[in-house]
Amino acid sequence: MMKQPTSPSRSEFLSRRQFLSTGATFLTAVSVTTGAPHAEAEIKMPDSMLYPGVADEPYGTPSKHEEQVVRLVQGLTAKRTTTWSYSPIHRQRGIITPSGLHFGTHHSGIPDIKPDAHRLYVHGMTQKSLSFSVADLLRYPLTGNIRFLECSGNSWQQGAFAKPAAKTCAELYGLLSGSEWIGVPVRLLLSEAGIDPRASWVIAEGSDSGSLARSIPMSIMNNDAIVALYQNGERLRPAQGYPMRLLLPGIEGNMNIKWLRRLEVTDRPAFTKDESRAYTETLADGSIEGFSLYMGVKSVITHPSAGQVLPDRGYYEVSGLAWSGFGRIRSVEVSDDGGANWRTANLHEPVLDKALTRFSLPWKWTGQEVRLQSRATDERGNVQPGRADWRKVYHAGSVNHYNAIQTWLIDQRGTISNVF
Amino acid sequence: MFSRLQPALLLIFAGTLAAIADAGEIEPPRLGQQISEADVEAIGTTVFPDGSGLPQGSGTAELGREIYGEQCASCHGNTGAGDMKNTVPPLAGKPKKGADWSTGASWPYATAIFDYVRRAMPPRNLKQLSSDELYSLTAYILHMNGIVTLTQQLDQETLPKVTMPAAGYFSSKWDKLESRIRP
Repeated sequence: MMKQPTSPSRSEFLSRRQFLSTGATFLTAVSVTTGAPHAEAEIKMPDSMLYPGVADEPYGTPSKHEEQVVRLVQGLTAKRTTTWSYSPIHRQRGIITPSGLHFGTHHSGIPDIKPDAHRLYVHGMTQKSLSFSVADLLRYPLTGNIRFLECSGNSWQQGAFAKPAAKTCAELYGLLSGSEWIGVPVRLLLSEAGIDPRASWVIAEGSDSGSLARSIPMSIMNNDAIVALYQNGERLRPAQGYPMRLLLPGIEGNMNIKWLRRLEVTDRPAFTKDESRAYTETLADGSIEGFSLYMGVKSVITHPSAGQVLPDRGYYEVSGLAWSGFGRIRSVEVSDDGGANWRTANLHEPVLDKALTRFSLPWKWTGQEVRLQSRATDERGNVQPGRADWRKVYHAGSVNHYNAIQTWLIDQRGTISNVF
Repeated sequence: MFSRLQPALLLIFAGTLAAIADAGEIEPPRLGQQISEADVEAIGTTVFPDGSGLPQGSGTAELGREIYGEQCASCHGNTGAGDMKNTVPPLAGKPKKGADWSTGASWPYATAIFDYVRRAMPPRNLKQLSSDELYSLTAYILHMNGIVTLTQQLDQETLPKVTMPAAGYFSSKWDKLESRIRP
């Protein structure tokens, strides 16, 4: 049930009952003309009901009428080895990203790895140094859950630029996805090797051309970390680490090492390249902060969002995503007056630990300029900060771990843009 | 016939019950194959700030200058200024805080330069440089930042002793938050 507003408001959020009575949803508002009751029928039988359909295919593909639902891919060049693929989150519903639309940030391209030849090694401060084949790992108890993954550089433009960039929702928030990840608990493999009680970190390394390596605290590895073998019911896609990747729920994307080859047990971090600049933040005093690990509580309204245009005044369902690296989402509030008044949004089930959570709120656009915002709170009481508060923590130009409240400006023509 | 089979059926039934009852106590498999110390040596290439993991060999910036010209300059530029339009980061230069820190100004440990070049650079001649060449390239990158002299020898002993400016202004959020948020 939706809570009543805590203070008088000029906002146009509707009660659920009011909304249901209108029968309209976002971008589907149509005027229905009532025809004469006894005129000749104008509705014809569609061809699909007159001719047999085509045969099914071994692996299904999206409708050809949905060709626009693709990622925005910034590809390799002669010099550029780092690439980004932004997921079209403004065209998705629910909390699961189709595997083919999962975001990607790649530092050395996507390798093609033959599963029979691939091995995972566990060594370092262990009693034994072990090697596991893919077939071995598939025989272990497989566990996992629905989790979000977010690049620590998601929304980087909001940190990089002093003025709001004219970017779409997908460009600003598309380095984010949700999947069901299933695999072998890392703690089983570590305990099989026999961990030295003095060990406190694990260096994880991929078998990509850049041998991407990150240092991960042992307590995270022994908690809910898995060596993921399945994503959304099928084996991993090459771009997601086939045949296996590390999956660290709630932890910045870069540390979820793809094409996982090596787990080196140690008692200190290695300060690898990605721990030395690329995945650090610059604090307001000019110092550098690394090992931020946890993705902060964050939310964004995907419907409506920058890049879209409201076709008409009237009723819309405001909908978006909220997530936190620290646990479950407790609540999401929505404002259409730039944060002066807030209404509690509906959270859609399931609301899961370290997973995307879908929220929505019926809303009526009166044709006036509005500033639409969402603010998430997680179960630990972390509240998504306003942009000014986020800015106070970080130095100008520091781009990672941006989690401030997003403002979408809807002008009187219905055009939606990114503003601060 | 039926009466003779009964005890056997009962035994099978009892056996099934026992297996279900014990299911929670069945240990997960232990399928890892032990690998040799030589294999561990070959795969374990991480270099730590204290120098552990560094191979034998040595080099100087003087020797590294030529290697840099051949292997690195086409992307990172003759002065190490980088090319952020192509996401090639600056190796040296005036500290530009925030998005465009140079390696010399932002990496807290010099050992990580050796580690990263050995792993991942240059992208079209991967893992081909000798240990001596890697020490020399590391020395030249440090020299471009005014951190070592042209003739200063870097090796297993001396590279970990190089002090990076960023060591004085790097902190770990995990260290600050660990007690509060650790699982």
